[in-house]
Order: sequence, then C-alpha cells, then structure tokens
Amino acid sequence: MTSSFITVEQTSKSFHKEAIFQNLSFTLNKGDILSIVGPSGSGKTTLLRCLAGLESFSTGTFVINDKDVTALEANKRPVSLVFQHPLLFPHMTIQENVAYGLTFQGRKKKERLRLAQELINQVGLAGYEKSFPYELSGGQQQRVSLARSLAISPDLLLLDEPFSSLDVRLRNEMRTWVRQLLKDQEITAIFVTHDKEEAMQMGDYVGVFENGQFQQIGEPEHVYHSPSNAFVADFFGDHLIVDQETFIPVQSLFLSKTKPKQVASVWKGVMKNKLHVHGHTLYQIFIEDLHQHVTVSSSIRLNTHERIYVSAHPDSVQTFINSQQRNG
Amino acid sequence: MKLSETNKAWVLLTPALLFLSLPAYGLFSAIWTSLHENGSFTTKHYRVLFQQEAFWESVGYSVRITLIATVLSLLLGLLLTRAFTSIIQSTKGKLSIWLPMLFPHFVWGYIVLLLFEQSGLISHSLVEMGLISSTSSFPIMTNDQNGIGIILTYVGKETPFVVLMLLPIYAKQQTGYKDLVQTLGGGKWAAFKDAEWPWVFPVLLEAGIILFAFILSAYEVPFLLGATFPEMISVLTYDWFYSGDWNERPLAFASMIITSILIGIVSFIAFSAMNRKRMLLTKGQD
Repeated sequence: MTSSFITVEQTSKSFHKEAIFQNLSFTLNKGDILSIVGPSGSGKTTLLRCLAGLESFSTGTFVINDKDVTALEANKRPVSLVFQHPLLFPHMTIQENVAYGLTFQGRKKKERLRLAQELINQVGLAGYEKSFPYELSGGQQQRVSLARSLAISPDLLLLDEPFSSLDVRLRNEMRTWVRQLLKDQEITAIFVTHDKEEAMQMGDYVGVFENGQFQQIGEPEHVYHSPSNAFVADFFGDHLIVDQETFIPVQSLFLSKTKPKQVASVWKGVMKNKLHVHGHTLYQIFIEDLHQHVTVSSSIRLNTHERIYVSAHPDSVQTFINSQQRNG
Repeated sequence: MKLSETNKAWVLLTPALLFLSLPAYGLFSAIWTSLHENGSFTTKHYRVLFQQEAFWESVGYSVRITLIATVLSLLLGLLLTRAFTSIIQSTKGKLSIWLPMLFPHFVWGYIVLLLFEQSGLISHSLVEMGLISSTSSFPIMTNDQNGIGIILTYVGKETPFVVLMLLPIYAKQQTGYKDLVQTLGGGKWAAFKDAEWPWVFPVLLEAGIILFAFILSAYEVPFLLGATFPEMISVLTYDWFYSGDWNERPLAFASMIITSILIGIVSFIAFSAMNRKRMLLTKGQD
C-alpha cells in the first residue's frame, strides 16, 4: 500500500466535541479492496459516511487520484456507497433503478439504458430489466443495488455491511461473487463489516477498527497470525491472550484430563460447549485464571462442565507486534 | 356451524354495510326523485337544470373555491409537516397544530367572520394602531364574491388534517434514500423528487380527494361566509330544496346528483392513476 490512488491523511471526526475517530491515515492502490472490521459503535460507519461526503471530516485530507475531494459534497465526489439495505426505488423498474445515477451525468436516455443493461447482465440478472424490486429476492435486490452504484463508474466504491440482511448461505455466495466482480473490474473498494470472516474473505487488506483508531492494518493472514495488540488478538484472531504483551495461537493449545508435566504454561479450564466443524470436534473452554473463553480442537472425549487442563509449549508463546516494537 | 371465509367476511362487513345503507338510501332516493315526475320516468329535471345559468355559474364558482382551498391546504400542510416534523411529533406540537380540528367548521367559520369582516377584530385593531383610517378601508374578506372568507376558513380547518395525514409518512421516512440519491450524484431537488415525493404524493392526493369532496358539497361555511351571488352549489341546492316552489325540489336533487358524479369522476381518475404506484410503494416497504 505504498502508491496512492486513494490517500486519507490525518482525518478526524467529532460530534459535539466527542471524537468519533482521530488522526486516521491510510492509502490504497487502484483496484485494492480494504475491509474495515470492528465491533458495533466503533465509528466505522461514520468513517464511511465521511468518505462518501454525507458527513464532513473535522480535520484531515482525502485525495482520490491526485484530486483533493475533502471539500466536495457527496454528489460531486467520484465515490458511491452501497448501503446495508438495498434501498431500491420501489416504483422504478430494475433497469430504471440501475440507470438512475447516470441521469446526473447528463447522458442520453439510450446510452443510460445500454449501460444499465450491461450492468444488469454483469450481475447476472438479465431478464429482470422490467421487473420491480418487490419481485426480486433479497440477494438479487442487493445485486441490483451494487449494479446501480457501479453504473456511475466511481473511483471508489464503499460498501456498508451490504450482506448483513441476507441469510448465512446467501451471504457466503454473495461474498465470493462480489469480490470476484470487483477484482475483474479493478474497482477500488472499502468494505465495512463487523464480521471478521467476511472481512478476511473480502479484503486484500484488513483494518481492525476500534475506539476511532485502526488498531492494525495489513493483509488478512498477517493480521490474523500476528496481531498488534490484545484487542486485535481477541477480536480478529483465535488466540489465548496471556497478558497485555503475549498471546498463544489457539492451534498451539492442547487439552488433557491430567496435568501435563514439563510444560510451563498450564491453566485449569471447564468445558462449556462442543462444536463440530469440518469433521473436527471443537471444545469451548473457559479458563478462569485468564477469564477467557477459548475454542480448541481435540480428539479426547469431554463432557460439559468437565474440568480440563489447557497447556502450551513455551516456544509457542508470542509477543504482540506493538510490544515488540516498544521493546525492540 | 362453522362459517366459511367468505361468509365470515360478510358477517364482519355487516355493521359497515348497515351504516352505509343510510347514505346509499339517500343517494338512490335522490336519483329516483330526480328522474321521475308524477310517477313516470323523465330526464326533464336535468334538462331544465342544464339550462339554468345560475347552476353553471354555481358549479364553476364552487369548483374554483374548492380547488383553491384544497390546493392551499395541501401546500401549507406539506410545508408545515416538512419543516416541523420533529416538533409536531411532541405532545405540545400535536396539540397546537391540531387545535383547529377540535372546532366544528361552523365555529371556525364564525371565528374567521369575527376576525376578518370589515367591522371585525383585525380591522378595528388596525384602526386603533392608526394603520388604516377607518374600518371601511379594510378589504372585504368575508361574504365576498371571491370567497376569500370561505377559503380562509377551509385552509385553517383542513391544513391540520393534511398534517395528520402526512405526519406518519415523514415520521417513518428513511433518510437512507436521500443519502443514496446524493451518493449517486443527485442534488437536493433530485432527493426531493425521487426520495420523498413518490411516498408523499399518494397520501397528498388521497387527502386532496377527501378535501375536494367535502369542500365542494359542504353547506354551513358558504352559508355563513359566502356572498349572495354567486352561491356555492350546496347553498343553491338548499335554496331550491326549501324554496316555496315545489317544482324546484327535483332540481335540488338533480344538482346534488351532478355534484356526486363530479366527485365520483375526480376520485376514480385519481385512484386509478395512483393504485399501481401505491401498490409498488407498499410492497417496497417489506
């Protein structure tokens, strides 16, 4: 992320003196997808609204393709936003919905309809041009919404939890499909979600957002395996957080009914729940000393509320990136 | 015995149908009387009616007054609701905007008369303040040929009704659509035209039909505030009905039937134009 098709520099936003986010900076190359993931209320939607121009930044600059768009209003920015709900105009046909934004670009009706048709084909809804939104399923409606946002050829596409109203199966299908479409068309996008799996699946980069700050930005795999702090480890990774400086990846933990000898890191736990995923048995263990739940794969048979030992080899204890930098 | 779904619907509809039977009886009785003379069928009363200049003048005058009062009420109601939705939703706001709805039309008309007639409160206050020399300099606004008093009364009474009809639309309006229009490149006008008007228009039209039907045929306000000539159709009909000449009574019936037909045509056109759009909007809110 060194080149800068998109540059967001030192941006902040406050409402009535209360800071929503502060000194945010990041850059994106053309065609990059950044997933912003964080818990509800962390300020990520406000950030998206500021990028779209629906709210103004309190400070900082926002540059797209070497043009400073910070002061531009929403309708003048080369940015479009796909909302949580499809928000299709119920009284317009699918074709009219997709062509809607093109009317503001002064294009002739014939051209508008041709472009809309191309996009309808791309999102796999050929044959639905004359249908009305209520005749489409939730997933199809969200695809129309995406087509409508893409129709105006934005330099930056923002997506605000667009799959949250869909059922789990459809959501999975849509993730793969939308990512492919964005990649095929080399569209620069920022995708906001509170679901870490969705963030990993959709983004070339993931930004973990909390308290109005990026706690860490990087490639999904890197953020997952090498969290910068305890929050990222807890929210984004599957790790046992030993203290504010160290953690143990969950795959390095093992369970035993008796206390293992010659292992330094051992904790007592209680089995709370059992899951079966991809042919593996996963146990949710509560470790009282660390006041944490951890989900560990194991072949031993355990009953609910059974006492158990959770242990790890000392070599597997890792230090958070931030702590390494501080100490290094 | 278990009732079928259809029978159940009929049972549930019975009270409403019984209630409707009263005006329906009145309407059919009026049609019958207007089309009969001495027990035999005739269209004579309609032919006589259509030849009466007073009737056409009255229809024109009534439609004009009705349209002006309806459009002004709708416009004012829309502007008030748009500007003050959050205030109107509070109890104080609701009370202040709906206060005029508590008064009967006749009382509201009387208030307008007390305030706006040449020797009324406003005129006297202006004289006291030295803004006009005498009450006769105050413009004639009641019992006038332009029907200003009638229009003022209806606008005052019907604007709160329009607000009442529009408030639910504005209270649950999704701001998302306006944001959407902006992010797609549209300005404020586009946001109004595409993200607000389609939801507001059907309700406004419905309120408009109700007001049109009511104002066109209501009697007490034009009786109190209208001029001797021209008269609104309701006043003219009332005069014919209670005049000493019994020959004019069928004319009264015929003119009321024409008024009903006029309202029916206007309502039919408006509803047919809106029904599909309304269906799409309702389904779109699922």
